[in-house]
Amino acid sequence: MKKRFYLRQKSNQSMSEFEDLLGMSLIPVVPDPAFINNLQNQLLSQIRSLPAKSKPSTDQIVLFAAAGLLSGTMFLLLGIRSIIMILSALGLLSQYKKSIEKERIPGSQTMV
Amino acid sequence: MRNDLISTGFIKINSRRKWVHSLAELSDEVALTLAAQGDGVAFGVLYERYIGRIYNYIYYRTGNVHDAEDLTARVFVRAMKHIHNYKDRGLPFSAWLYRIAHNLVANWHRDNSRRKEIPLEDAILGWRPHDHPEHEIVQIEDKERLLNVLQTLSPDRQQLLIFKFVEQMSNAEIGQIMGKSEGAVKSLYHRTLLSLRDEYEKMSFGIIN
Repeated sequence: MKKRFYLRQKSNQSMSEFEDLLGMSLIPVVPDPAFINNLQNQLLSQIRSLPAKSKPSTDQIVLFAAAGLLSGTMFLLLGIRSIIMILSALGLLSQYKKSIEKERIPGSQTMV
Repeated sequence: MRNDLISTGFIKINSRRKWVHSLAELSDEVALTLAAQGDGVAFGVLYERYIGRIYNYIYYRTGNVHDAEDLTARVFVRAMKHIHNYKDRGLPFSAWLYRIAHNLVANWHRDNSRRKEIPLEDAILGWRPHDHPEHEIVQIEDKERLLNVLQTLSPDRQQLLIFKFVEQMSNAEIGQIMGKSEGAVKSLYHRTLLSLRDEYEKMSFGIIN
């Protein structure tokens, strides 16, 4: 029991000493001021050359939404119109077929 | 884009006007909002606030001044380019910068894939002078050995020790940055100390023999 207590105490003590050594080894280093200034200037010049990205205003959002709605409606109307055109073309075709068939039937009767 | 210095006056943040006396009093949140809008001065405030911390972190991860400067510059260039995409997830801004630094250091280690050593002249810096020169040399050697052992640890463990000793952060702050609970940080710290001490003692024993 005493031995275990002694060992634990010794381990804690050595751990504490080790932490002290770490504390003395890992100390903050100060970067070279010239490096800090050069990098700051470099970043500033890069910021100036970057395109400005700002959030769109409410007016812009409304304008974009209206334009989107308008173009959407236009596409919808165009779609409906094209469907009607296809349907009417099909109707015309079927009428044309029917008229041809009607023309053929009297001819065939005369042959008989 | 606004690059003029903000003096005493109102600044507009999220459609609300806020009174500021000087740049120094700008909180990270405000500076971030302004920087994301392309404000160079606000980014400069963040730069001045974090350059030392990021440099220190990279310095202890790479082990030399040249690479520390190079990677620190890359961290801030990358941060500046992507600050518009920054999303506030309730973590401090430093966590985002450390994440960039962590990734760049990992790439650097992968590219170099060689063990770095802390130069002796750097290790001497900040060392308190001692009455006995022999004792001082022994201490410098101990320190150099310790820093070399530190470089063999996993990136997470190195990060933890740097935050703990160089940045003097609390377990809660470290946990916030590393995405761990305070208890997990405490536990990792204890395990890291034990393994570091073992490795250090092995190395010291090897030198003595």
